[in-house]
Amino acid sequence: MRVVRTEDRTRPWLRCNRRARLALGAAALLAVVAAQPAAQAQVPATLNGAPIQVTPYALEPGVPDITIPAGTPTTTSGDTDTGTGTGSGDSGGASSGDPLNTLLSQSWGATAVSEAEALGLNPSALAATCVVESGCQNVTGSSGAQGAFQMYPGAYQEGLQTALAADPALASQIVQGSAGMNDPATEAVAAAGYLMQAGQNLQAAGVSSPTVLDARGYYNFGPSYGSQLALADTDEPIANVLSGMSQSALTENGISPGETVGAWRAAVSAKIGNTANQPITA
Amino acid sequence: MLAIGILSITAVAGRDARAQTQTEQVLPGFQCMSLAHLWNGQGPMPPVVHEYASPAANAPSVGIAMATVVVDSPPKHEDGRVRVIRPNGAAAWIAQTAIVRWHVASNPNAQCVVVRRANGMVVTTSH
Repeated sequence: MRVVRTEDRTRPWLRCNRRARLALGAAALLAVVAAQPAAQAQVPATLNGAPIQVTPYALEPGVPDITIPAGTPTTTSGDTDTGTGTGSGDSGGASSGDPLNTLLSQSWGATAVSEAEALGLNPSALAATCVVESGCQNVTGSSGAQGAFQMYPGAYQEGLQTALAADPALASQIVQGSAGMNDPATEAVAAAGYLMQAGQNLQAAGVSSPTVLDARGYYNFGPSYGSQLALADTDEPIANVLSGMSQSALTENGISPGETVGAWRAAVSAKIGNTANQPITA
Repeated sequence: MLAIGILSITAVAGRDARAQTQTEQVLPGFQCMSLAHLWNGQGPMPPVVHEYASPAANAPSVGIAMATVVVDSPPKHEDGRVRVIRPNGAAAWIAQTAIVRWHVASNPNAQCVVVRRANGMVVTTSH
C-alpha cells in the first residue's frame, strides 16, 4: 500500500520520486541561467547622480525630508553663508560633493577626522560644518567669528570644554588659549564638542535621531532656534522660527523673504549632499 | 504627561510627503510664548534658558528652552516660574522673567498655535 503523506495530498506537484524531482530542479535552474544574457551580468553599474532614494513608509519625527534630484551631481561654489550661531560664516565654498573629501583634502583634515571619531561624532558632520562655514578654509569673519569653523569665542570655549570633558586626551593635541581659534585642528575639536552638545540637546528636545542637517540648524542659529527648527513643519516660514531676527538680519544670514523651513533644508542639503541625512553620531 | 483634549483634527494639505502624512491636533488651553532674549542674528548669542523639573529653586534642569515655548493659557505661575510643556508632553518650569508674549520680529502679523502631532509630540506651528 502506498502511503501518501498529507503534504503530498495538498501539494500534488510533489508527487514524484526524489531523483525525478532533482532532475526537474536542475533543468529548471539551467533554463533560468541560460535565459540571462551573459553580457548583462558582466557590465558594471555606473552611478549617474545620487543613489536611488529610499522612501520610508514609517516616518520618523524630527527627520527632515530630503529630495535628491536625479542626474549628474552639480557643484556650486561661492555661496555666501553669513551669520552662524557659533560664528558668522564668510564664504561657504559649499558643494554637493562629499564634505568629508573636502575636509580630508586639508592638511589638518585627517587630524580633525580622528578627533571627531574620538568623540563619537560622525566625521561627516564636522566636515559638513566647515564646508558650509568656510569651504574648510581658515578665514576670519567680519563679525568676529574665526577660523574654518567660524566660531565666536564663547561658543569656541564652550565646545572645547565639552570635547575635553568627553575625551581629556585631546588636550595634548590642541593649541592653548585664543590662538587655538586660528588653528583649524584645534578649532575642529571645539566644533566637534559643540556638535556633540547639539546632538544631546536635540535629543532632549524630542528629536530622536538628530541628523547632520538638524545639527546644522543648531550650529547655524544656536540652541534655542536649533531645536525649534529641527521640529518645525516643512511649510512653516523660517522667519517665524527665527522669531527674534529682523528682516535685515535674516537677509544677512542668507534667508530670503517668505522662505520656508523646507526650502532652507533643501538649500543646506544642496550644499552638503547626502551627508544631510546622516546621523551626527558615529 | 498631560491628558490634553482635542479641539480639532487638521489634515494639512499642500505640504510635502512628510507633512502630508502628519496629522496635527490643535490643543486648547495652551499658547505660544517667546523667550525674552533671542538671538537677533548678529554677534554672540544670549545665554541658553533652562527648563526645570519643578518650580523649586533647587530643581534640576531637564533641558534647554526653545525660542517658542508652550505655556498654559492662562499661564500657571509658582515661585517665580511658569509651567511649560516640553515636546514630549511633560511639564517643566521656566523663570517667568525669561518669557514674553509670542512675536516675530520680521512679521508682526504672524500667528502661532500649539498642536499635538500624530506621534504625540507637542509642538508649535505658525503662519
